Amino acid sequence: MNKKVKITIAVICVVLLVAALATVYVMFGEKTVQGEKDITITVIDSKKNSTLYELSTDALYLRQAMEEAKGLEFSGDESEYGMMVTTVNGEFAEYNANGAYWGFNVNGSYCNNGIDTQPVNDGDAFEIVYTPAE
Amino acid sequence: MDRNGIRSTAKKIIYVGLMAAVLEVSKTALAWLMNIELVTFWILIFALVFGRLILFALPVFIAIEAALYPMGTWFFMYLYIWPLIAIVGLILRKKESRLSYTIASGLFGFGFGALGTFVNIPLMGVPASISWWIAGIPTDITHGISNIVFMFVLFNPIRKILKRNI
Repeated sequence: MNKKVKITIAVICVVLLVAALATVYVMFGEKTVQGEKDITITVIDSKKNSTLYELSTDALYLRQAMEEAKGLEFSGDESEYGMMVTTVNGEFAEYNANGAYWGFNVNGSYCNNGIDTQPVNDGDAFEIVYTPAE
Repeated sequence: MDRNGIRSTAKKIIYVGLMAAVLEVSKTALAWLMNIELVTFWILIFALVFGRLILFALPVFIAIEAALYPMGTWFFMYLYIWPLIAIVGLILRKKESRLSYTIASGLFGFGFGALGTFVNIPLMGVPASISWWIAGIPTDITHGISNIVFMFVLFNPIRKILKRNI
């Protein structure tokens, strides 16, 4: 088999693999939900104090919901994958600076996405937790 | 050990240190591009050029990473994913084929999330681990394609430079 044929077969295999992965993502990936959703966001700071935010939102993703939560203030560094949150309600956490970070949970499990791509569903309970590195 | 033996051992230790340094520097340099990395490329190339010495460089690299970043499941993924890539690099060594290394590099990129899922299963359970893998598919696709491009473009020039100077 000559080199060109081998490369062509390899390219076809790669395209098929990408198509298969994309299909799995489209069919089984988390989807956004249109319309109003009732959610809660709980911030747990470094002293384990909890602050609860309850809101009704049309937000598709967590970031927009956080922006809509009255009294919740946050900021961070923008990256290609959205905001990496470093400050919540005035408390700073960044591993390289102070050995801690803000962890995000949804319904008791780690968020699989960043705040810009984490879908919001009706009834979701989000937690933003100050997490010291172990 | 005679003088030649000492020299040879010293050389190997230096190679191990240099490999670990190159891995760490290239990882850090591209850290802002999530899942676009040169670590896979370098591990495969080092396996090709330096043989089993790469297996000594990987623990050094992983230890540096553990010292720099907060401990997480990523650490346990690194413990088996990078050595697995090195072993594949060693297996492919006989042929020295750019196409074989490119395919291996691409497969590791596309499969990185799937390989990492094994670590999450004890912590998150099977359904959540599968969700975690699916959520990361877009970055796995970017990872695989970038790995293919890096290996296809850099394989011949870097291999030649390293072989000429080692």
